[in-house]
Amino acid sequence: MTVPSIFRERWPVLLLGLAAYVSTFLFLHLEQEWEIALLLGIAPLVLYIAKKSGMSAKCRQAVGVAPVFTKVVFLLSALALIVTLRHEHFALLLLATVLLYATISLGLTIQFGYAGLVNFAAIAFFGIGAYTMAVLNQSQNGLPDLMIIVIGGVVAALIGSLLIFPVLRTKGHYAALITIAFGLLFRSFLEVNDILGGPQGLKVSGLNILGWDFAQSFPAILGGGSFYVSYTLLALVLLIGVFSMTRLIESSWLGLNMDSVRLDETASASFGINVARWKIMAFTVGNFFAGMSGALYASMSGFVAPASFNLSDSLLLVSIVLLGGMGNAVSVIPAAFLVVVLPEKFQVIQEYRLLLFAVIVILILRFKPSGLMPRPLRRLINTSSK
Amino acid sequence: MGIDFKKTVLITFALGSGLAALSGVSTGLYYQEINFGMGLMLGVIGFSAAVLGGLGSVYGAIVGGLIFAALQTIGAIWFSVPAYKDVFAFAVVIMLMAWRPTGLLADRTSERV
Repeated sequence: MTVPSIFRERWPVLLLGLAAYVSTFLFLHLEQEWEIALLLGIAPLVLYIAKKSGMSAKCRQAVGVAPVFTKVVFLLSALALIVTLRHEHFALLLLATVLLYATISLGLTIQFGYAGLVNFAAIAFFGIGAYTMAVLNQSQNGLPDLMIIVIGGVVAALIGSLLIFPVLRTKGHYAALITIAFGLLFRSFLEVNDILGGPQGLKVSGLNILGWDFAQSFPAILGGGSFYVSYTLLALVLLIGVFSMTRLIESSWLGLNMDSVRLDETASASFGINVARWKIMAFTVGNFFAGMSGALYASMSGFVAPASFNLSDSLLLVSIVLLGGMGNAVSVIPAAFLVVVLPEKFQVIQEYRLLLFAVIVILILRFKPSGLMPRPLRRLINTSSK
Repeated sequence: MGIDFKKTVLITFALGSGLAALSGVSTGLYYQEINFGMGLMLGVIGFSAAVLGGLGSVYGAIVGGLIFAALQTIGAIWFSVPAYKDVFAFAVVIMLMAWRPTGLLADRTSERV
């Protein structure tokens, strides 16, 4: 019996999907610090061997040849991950958080990576979505929960549009200051505002979509499991939607215009590109993603409080984008995974875990200054077609 | 041009950090209380003040610092809840930045392409 040719070309993709599944599963499942440390030691070794043996080149080629197949493989490994972890509350909570953080980071990728807009207030827009969910969910107004998630994004985009004018007029440090100031303003505002619960925040009831109550454990007909399974699945759906949209923006003329705005504003303007328009679009779309992600996060964690929306969280999100490789939509997923999961796995060494985490991030950026997966050059001609 | 790039960067960094440390000492002496987390907010406020005045302008930094402190004080008096002072101060800073995108006292330079 001969191996079908279609398989011969594509097996590296399967291997890649399997590797992704095994490594994420081990990271989420293992509890002991020494096991995690061992994994962290093995990971670069495996990557090094893969590179030396020509395996990574083969994988890259296989991924390039069969993009749709790759997506299906990775989707299946994500689903397999959820299925195998379905009884572990904490691992699923981490996984869902990773997915939501990756969603915000995709918004940041559009803002930073494509249009070159700095945004140090990502967590504020995330928070706006979260508070929208809390307020709308409380006041029994009959709005379907899925719609509230979208409304969360819209509200974040609308409030973000207050910043458009100052952000458009300023550049560099000055633009960074505006977003930092907005992040701090948002947090102080929440803390002193009694209607929104002040420092204690608000309670959020669980999602209920088409009669499917997310607060109950996962339906037994479908295999049972923690109630986080539903949230993780929804977060996965959100991420897939946002990811596809980001890729569509990147590969279309929208992304091309944004890239040119980032690289040289003056040159773009002289070629007739409306710089302001693309900046506004990138900023709004990014905030919309962050808001949707925040709305889902609020209903998952069951409460919202100003303390979850610090400046340091915004910096964490920026570090996800930088660690992954600016402008590469795929890279935010492993980067978000590292940034969210690593500190949680080193709980035992308490606050030193942040120090250790910082050292790991600095080491990665020391040896790979443009991130884990730098953005590939835009291919304007399809070279893969035969 | 014979300028030692590395040395200049190092000296500027050392000078800046030293000045920040000096103001840290006086802050500690004034409030008679310190904690490790107090720096972030003060750092952001310092950055806001410098940017508000206009980066690269000495007088701008002084003016920016005075304006920021004034805004906080006015905010504390105006609102029945004094905690709104930061909200007020940052909102005004954003508006001022929209009005003068390169700070209040920035030197006029034209961009060369």
